[in-house]
Amino acid sequence: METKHDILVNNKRGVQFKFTIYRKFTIIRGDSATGKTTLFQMVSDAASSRVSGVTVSCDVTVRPLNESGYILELQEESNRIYVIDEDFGPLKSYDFAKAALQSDNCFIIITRESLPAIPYSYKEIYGIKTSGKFHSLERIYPDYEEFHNTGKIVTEDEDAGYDYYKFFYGDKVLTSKGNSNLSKYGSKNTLLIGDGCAIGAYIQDLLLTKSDLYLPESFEYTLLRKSMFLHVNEVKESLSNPGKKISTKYVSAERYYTDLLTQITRNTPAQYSKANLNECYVKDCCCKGTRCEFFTREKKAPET
Amino acid sequence: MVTVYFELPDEEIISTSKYFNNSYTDEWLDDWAKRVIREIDNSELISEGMVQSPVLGPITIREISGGAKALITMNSDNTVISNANSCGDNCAPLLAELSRRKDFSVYLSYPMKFGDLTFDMKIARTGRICHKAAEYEKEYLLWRQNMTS
Repeated sequence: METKHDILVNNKRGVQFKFTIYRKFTIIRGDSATGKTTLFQMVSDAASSRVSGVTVSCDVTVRPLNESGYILELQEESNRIYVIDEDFGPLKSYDFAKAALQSDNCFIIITRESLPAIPYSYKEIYGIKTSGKFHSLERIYPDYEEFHNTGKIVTEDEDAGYDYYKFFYGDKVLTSKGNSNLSKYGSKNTLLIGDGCAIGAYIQDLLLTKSDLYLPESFEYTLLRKSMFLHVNEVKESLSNPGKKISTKYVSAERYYTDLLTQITRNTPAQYSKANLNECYVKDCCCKGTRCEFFTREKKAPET
Repeated sequence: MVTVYFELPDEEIISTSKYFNNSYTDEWLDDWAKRVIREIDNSELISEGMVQSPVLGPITIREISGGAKALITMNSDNTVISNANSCGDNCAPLLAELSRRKDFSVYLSYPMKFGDLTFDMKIARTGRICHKAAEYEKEYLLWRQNMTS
């Protein structure tokens, strides 16, 4: 299932919600009394068997997810967008996370819980913007995509990702060994590097540390944006329209970008491995901008 | 003083909306409730259980926001730990004010933004007392970091 969808929910009294989702998981929080529960209630009313006065317009079915029988429903149904209210009891449970991650559906979750078992992007956390009866979604956090070379640099990545930054910035680079530990290294004059597409559960913690943040989609996304892949059509298409490419079969965009990078570099000198950093990604390539016949026959592929 | 629980067993976390709808009495709908509904929901409590909303028109008290229900519950029901996760940052001024005049407990697992507000808060897991946002945020962050140690 594609993850980009336009959604319009309105009723005969003129209350309207209009927004677009871009990923498998969308989180709605923000101030009280902005219409979150009204949105859920309208979607619930529309899903009833009788004419409800609510219209939901979307290219796929939009439904509320209720506690009763939800695991079976997520296993059996596909190509749906489920809206989940903050009163959904199993929301923090392992069972819910497992069922949602494995399902071929998208989820709009209304909650202020952090949900660390679900890899969602900090860019897909929204508040509701209200203008009279008209409601839309508004991102809560700005982009953190500018690299600031600060006194200390800490990346959540180990292995290739860690080696990559260490190559350029030397011994001041540390690894936190995972996104859940990243905030422990935070302080002023420190740059924290995380996978933006899966760090939603920790974004509030990171901001409290007063650190600088650099949150590209993922390490693999950073590599895919390098000039060596500028002319690879699959990369161009993926970076320009990720919602069309990143399907719900991927638990997060990080997996998608890893698969893509692995696939396009397989059996080339630039073969990607998470375990070891390939020098092609940090040293000048003699035929930049072409595909892998490209990456010089003289260069040896690294040991993997 | 408000006692803040960063975490609770699932069975102790109340569903703000369902709990309010099934528990409120006329006594709950006092001047505090009127103020909460006015300041949080931008609506008016016009008669017993009826509210005039600028967006939804006339609604029942059961349809006010989760944040408003939580703040009313905090003031009127000391038998439960209210769920402050139902409250957005715009509820912080009233929560802080309430903490300075009565004792109650809340579940709050996200870093609510208190800004320059002062409050009387006890962190349940450490017993520390906080009066400013920076003190509360420090306790919150320590708890979060402790979860993964």
